[in-house]
Amino acid sequence: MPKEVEIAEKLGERMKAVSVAEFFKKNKHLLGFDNPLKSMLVVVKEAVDNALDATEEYAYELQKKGKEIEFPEIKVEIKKEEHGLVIIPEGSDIPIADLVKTGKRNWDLVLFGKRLRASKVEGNTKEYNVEGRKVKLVFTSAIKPQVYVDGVKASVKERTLKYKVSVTDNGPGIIESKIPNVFGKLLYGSKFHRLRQSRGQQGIGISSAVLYAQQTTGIPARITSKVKTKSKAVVMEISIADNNEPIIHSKEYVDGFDYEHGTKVELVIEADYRESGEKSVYEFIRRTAIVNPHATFILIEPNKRKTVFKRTSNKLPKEPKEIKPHPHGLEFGKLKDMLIATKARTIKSFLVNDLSRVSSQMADNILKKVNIDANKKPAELTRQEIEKLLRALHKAPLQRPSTDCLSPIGENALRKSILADTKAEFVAVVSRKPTVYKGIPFLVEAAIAYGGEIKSEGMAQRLRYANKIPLLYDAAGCATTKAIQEMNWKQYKVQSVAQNGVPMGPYVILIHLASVWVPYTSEGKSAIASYPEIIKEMKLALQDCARKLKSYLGAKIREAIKAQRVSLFEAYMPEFALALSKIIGVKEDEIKKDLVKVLSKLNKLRAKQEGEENEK
Amino acid sequence: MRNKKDVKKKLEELGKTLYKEIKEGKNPFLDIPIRALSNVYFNPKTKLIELGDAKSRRYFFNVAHIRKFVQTIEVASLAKELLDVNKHLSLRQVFYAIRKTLPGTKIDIVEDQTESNQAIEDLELITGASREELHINAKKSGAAAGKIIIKDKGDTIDWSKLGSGGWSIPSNTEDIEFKKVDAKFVIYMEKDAMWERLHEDKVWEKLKCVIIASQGQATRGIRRLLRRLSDEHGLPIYVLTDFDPWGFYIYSVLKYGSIALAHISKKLAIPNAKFLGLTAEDIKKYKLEKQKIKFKDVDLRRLEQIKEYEWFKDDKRWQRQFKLMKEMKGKVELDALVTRGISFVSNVYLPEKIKNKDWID
Repeated sequence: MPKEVEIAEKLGERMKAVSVAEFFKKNKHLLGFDNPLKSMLVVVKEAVDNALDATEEYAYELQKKGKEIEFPEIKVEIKKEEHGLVIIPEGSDIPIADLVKTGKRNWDLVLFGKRLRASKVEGNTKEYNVEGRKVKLVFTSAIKPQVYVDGVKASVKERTLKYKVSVTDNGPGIIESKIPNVFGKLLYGSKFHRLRQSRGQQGIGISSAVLYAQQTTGIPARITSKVKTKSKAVVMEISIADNNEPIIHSKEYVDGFDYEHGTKVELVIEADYRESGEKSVYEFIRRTAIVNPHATFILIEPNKRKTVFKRTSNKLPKEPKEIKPHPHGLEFGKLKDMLIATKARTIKSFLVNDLSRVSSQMADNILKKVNIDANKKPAELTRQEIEKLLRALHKAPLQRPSTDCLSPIGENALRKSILADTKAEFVAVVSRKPTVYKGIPFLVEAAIAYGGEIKSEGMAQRLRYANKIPLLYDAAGCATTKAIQEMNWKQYKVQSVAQNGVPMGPYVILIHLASVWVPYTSEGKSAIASYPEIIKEMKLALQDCARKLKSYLGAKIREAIKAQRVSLFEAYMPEFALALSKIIGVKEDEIKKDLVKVLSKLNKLRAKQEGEENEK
Repeated sequence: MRNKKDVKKKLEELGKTLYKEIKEGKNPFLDIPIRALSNVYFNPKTKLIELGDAKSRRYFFNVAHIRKFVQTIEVASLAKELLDVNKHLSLRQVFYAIRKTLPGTKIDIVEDQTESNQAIEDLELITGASREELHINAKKSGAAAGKIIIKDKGDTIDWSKLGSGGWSIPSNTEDIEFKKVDAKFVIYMEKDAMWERLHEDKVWEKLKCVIIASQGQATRGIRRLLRRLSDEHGLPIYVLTDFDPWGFYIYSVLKYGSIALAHISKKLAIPNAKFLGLTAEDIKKYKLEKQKIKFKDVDLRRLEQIKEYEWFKDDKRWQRQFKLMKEMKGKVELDALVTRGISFVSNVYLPEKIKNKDWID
């Protein structure tokens, strides 16, 4: 947890220092926008996370009030937009304006979807002022104009593909006054300071997707929201200003919305789209649906293919509770920040109220040990005192943190969901009990599906998750992969195992790590770090599943052998009889008859033995 | 030599025992001595590598056994036929003779020759009859020349009157008759080139002997021929090899037998064989040090293995050779003797060594 908070805070600090545009350029990778394909996934992910959080929270509210639960339904639609030309100045990779053909030998500049007026038109040249820079177009041929930015020749490139991503949910909707801040301000909201299992940990929220759209296509985000109590839905076009304040481009009220209430986010982005494969939106939604069996997902792709991933569970997952940080998991920076931000007036009250599992007596003991006055103001602790306090906290004999901050998918729900997805003939599921590592509670869930409609060529499909978010990148460096590879699959009657230790054949292997803080290997947050404690739990979960698989496969193999055995003997008998008759001169048929007698006798004996074993 | 009738009888007994079991309503089985390192030992009394008593039982009505069981019986049935009509087949031909697909299945009785070869070895172990006695032959290889007249399939052959090629040794030497033996000893060598050198020099005439060569490891046919010359005519067998671990190994197999063929050591091994190859002392005496070929790692590893062989472990003369070879870190080929003169090996080396009884026993 501390690491995530730190990153978010670091981002926040950096943002104060620079303009939003510059901030984006510098932190693209932190936000996950490494390449066009991944950018598509990140935008979809942020929008879907946002939708899931909203619909779930609403469903929990209804459940608490004893009302009928409205289960989440999330519609994702991706459309291809037309693409044109852009001007990219020398020494940069960010386009400064769009170039649109308006006549045989005439071109116009377009910024944020609006046509700009030329400041000077002369013969075959046109001049513009674009955000303080001079852009000159020279028409020499009918194909493309030559472009100069501040007198330096700029390149004209075809814009990479543009897509419109729309995500609609049946959540509560967002009240009008809050819309600008939610979508038009980076790092708004309290997600980062929450200590409970949450999806948000992976990115910095929907506003980063809005920023990405704005930076790549210049088109503002379009938000439609309808709350139950209002008859009309509000539609707003929003972007983020350089000082991180929302800009409202338009606002109108419309009749009708896809659901009785909910939110729709539309973003036009530069990205790449793949119809299938590990890193496709389809796969992302499919995998998200598997671990969110209480939600229905509808995906409409650019090729008009519509897929409905139907809800398979009638129960909401356990709602994760927020917990206070456990002393054993604290780090220096985090403790320092908490001491400054706390509302507690004394250090003792801080320890008791802002941390979990510290009793009043324990607080006294700890403070006495490090020689700090219990009534001292938290913000007044010196660096050395904080350091001493931290060490004492780490060593303090405390109860483990409560684990109800975790929300597992649950064995039954996961089984149903995997069966629905894979149409396997056998599924083994294990949801392990929560464990604590360095004061951080976590739990592992695993599933192995076998046979049925699972494709039997190649390696097993591996579904990796952290906090119910599918991990699609960096499989090789992920703890889940290590856990799978370290298993001795042959021991569980898996017939064929690839050189890298992954089972071959009709298998799907799922691993889910739920934790208030997931240790990722890098800022890209697509692989779980290989902590021995985590790998151990993953392997235990897999072994549990594999044992169930083994007994299933064992029974199946035994059945097959039984059928094979008789036919094998019958196939060999004539050959044996013939060969033997040639040696001893007894007639072949006679030997065969005798062999048949022996076989039926042996079969009877065997049946009897098996019967006795079964009785036992 | 075992009588053909005996071998046939053995096969028939095997068949009858199986049929008796079937008649009694029992699952028919074969007991096959285990051919693995765990069941092979050096018998210090006979000085042979021999097979132990461990056996594995193979049933017909057993999913895991049935394939090999039937393969063995197929070979037995084929061998019975070969003996009946007095014909021979090669290992490859046996593979084709028993190869067929079981009707209505995709099961082949044998899929490749290793399977039929193994079945043949199993049958050797069960019946105690060698492959050759079962009328199954391997490739022929090797040549002989010298003061012996034999009778083979009705033809009389004088080994001293066969031109430059000599007598080509068949894979089965069981039925060769020795008509007239004027030789006083046999020189066996692994290399053709050395044999041709000695043949051209007519060593066998000068020294009244027989020279026999194989190409590489001696075949069963050659080993059996040497053994019979030793047994039936009391001829000393001198083994001429390079001064290297692989040469020592050839000598070791000839004299004591091998793990792979432990079950027929009693027929193949030649306890009276003597090592007449290059020794460390020869190298010094004939000043061949400069002809040394440097050891590779694999040579050194082989030397370390051979050094530990039970039959060499307590033999001071051998251990001395191993020690000196290790110090030299190299090997010397017999061919290097040419540096002392084209026919040095025929005119000096062999006569001197034999006269001085300068061999290792």
